[in-house]
Amino acid sequence: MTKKRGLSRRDFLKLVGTSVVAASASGVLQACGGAEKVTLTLAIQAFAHDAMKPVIEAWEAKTGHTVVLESGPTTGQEMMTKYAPAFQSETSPVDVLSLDDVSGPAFSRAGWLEPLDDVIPAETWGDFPPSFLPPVDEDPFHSYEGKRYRVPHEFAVGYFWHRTDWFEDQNIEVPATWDEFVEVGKHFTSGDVWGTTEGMKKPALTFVYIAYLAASAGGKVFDFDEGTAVALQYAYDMLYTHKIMSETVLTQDYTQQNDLYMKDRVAMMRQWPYFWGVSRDNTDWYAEGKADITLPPAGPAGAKSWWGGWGFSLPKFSEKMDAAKDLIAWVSNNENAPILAEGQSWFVMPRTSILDVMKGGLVPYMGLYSESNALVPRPYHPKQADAETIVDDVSQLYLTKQLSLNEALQQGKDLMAALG
Amino acid sequence: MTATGSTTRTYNPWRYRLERYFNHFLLYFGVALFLFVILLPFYWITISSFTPRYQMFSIPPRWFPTEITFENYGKLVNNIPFFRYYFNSLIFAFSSAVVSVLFAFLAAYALARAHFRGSNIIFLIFIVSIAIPQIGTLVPLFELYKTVGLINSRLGMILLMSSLIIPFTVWTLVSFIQQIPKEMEEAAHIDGANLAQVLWQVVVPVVKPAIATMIIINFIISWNELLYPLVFATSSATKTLSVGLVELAVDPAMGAGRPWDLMSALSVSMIIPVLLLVLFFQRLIVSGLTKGAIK
Repeated sequence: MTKKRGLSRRDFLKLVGTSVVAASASGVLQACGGAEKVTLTLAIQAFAHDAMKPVIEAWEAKTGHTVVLESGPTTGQEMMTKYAPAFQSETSPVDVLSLDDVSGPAFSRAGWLEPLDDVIPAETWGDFPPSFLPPVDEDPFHSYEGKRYRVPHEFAVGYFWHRTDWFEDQNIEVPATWDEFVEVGKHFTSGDVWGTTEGMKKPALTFVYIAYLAASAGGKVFDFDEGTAVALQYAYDMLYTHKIMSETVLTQDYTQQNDLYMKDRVAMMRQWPYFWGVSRDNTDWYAEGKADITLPPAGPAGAKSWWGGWGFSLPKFSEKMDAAKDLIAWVSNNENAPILAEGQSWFVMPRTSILDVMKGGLVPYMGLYSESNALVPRPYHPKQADAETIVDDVSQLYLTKQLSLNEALQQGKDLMAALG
Repeated sequence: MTATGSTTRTYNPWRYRLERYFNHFLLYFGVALFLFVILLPFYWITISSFTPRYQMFSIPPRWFPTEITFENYGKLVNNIPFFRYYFNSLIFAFSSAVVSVLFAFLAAYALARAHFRGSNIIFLIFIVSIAIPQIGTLVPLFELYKTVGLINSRLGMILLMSSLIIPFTVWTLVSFIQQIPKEMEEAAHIDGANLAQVLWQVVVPVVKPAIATMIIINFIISWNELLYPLVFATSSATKTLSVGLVELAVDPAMGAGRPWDLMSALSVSMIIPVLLLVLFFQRLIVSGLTKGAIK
């Protein structure tokens, strides 16, 4: 029987020495091989996931990190409900997220987002025309206190659509001014056909249209100023004086608006870019010339239309900040922007890198609006959702003849003042 | 002989019949009106779920579908991880209902039977907590859950939901337990039963309809709950169907705004389990709800 020998002092020192060397070596190897591999979460609406995948897979192959795509709420209000408690608790369930024009400014002002000025390379920022991405001090939707917090990935502008086939048949020019618009509208309005239409249903849609008209009138819609008065009066006149737009627009949504247009009952209208796909997918109805785009009729301040959209941001509380910074720079860079745009129309923007590659579809019209200086930013208010609701409510009261124009303007000013 | 001054109403069979018909008419009209108001949204959402998107907002509205399609359901399944969310919803709602009733029953028994100093205050605190706005508790709860590592976990969400519905359940069960004659429990004690046996073999059988009713009601409340899953479920592994409802988005190439076709299909999918539950346990629910009403 042999007596079991304990660990000698020499063996113990050997073991400790070997462990220290091994640990140091593994640290050096890890440093040489790059940082620890992490899994990041990128939150964006589900319909965009397929388009994101090739770009994400390329980044995963490049870095060795993994990305999980999560969907998120589709409105700014729900976005704030979902993320505010987490951000308030200085934690973040996502590492990169897509934010809209309501939640983005709210989160940046709350100090919950990481500045992107040094994260996104200068050539990416330079890819956006100034009319799309104004300087930081003039762009409350992407910037705050001189820093950028959101890099746009979506661009939605209200385009002016018209029936080229009708205009050509009747040898009429497409209206270039508000006055011409009324005259042409009167010409086409007959029986169940209207000169123009709109979706102005509450909530939100009345704001969209009045802000569109106010842009061409040179008004600041949240100030209920003279330009806004001109816009409201113009909308009123279209409804009741010139009768080129049905009163049902006040309760109509975009689906009904599009339905009316595609039933050959409207000659011209303002609509978001998605109508491009909707009209062309309606193969029973669509033919060339039925849904063309041109610049909006010019009001007192010119031919203008406001634009808004979604953009990528970095929550300040991401625990994988270095990798998240690399990811947001990757998904928004000039090489990947066209790939995303090819994969999903939601990512089509008037960026140079996209305009250079994509020639068809809406891209030329984006270029037209951008080059013609027709783009104005969405009206901004620190309490965006509440302010838009006030415009909605007051405009509806005026357009349904419950208030005079002066009463509506005064009520709008009072409510805005109370909002602070 | 003196004539009585009272005027006696002569029986007129026609008048009587007319009155009866009129009363029946009023009754049936009232019931029909009530059913119309209650069932119209269900009818509308059901036909919307089977209506092609382009027909949903036609003017004038179509009260009866001219074209039936299952396409909305197909698109719904592709738009969100529908079956995973469904499974999550079932686990979340069922577990929350059972856990809440289990703890509420024990608390309710204590509050109904054990009269100690401050027991009324504790009961009041339970009731007052029902009035606390849910949204006001989100941030502190998130802080707490972050500390204990329960964010985005099924267990965390079930505990959270249970904590929300326990006060209401306690409030309801206390009144049921108070109606059980104390003598029944005393007799069991005399026969040698311990507290657990008294609870399980005497109290539970008597309040079984109330317990079952509360499980069903709590299941429905949890099934429909949006706020807690929206905030605390941060990945598709834990998200529920109600979260899916706010995540449904229209492909921009296909339209804008809310996808009412998909939302209708999801709403019908969410209504079905609740409807089946209520239909199957209708008698139990009615007996549970009315048991405490008449003494």
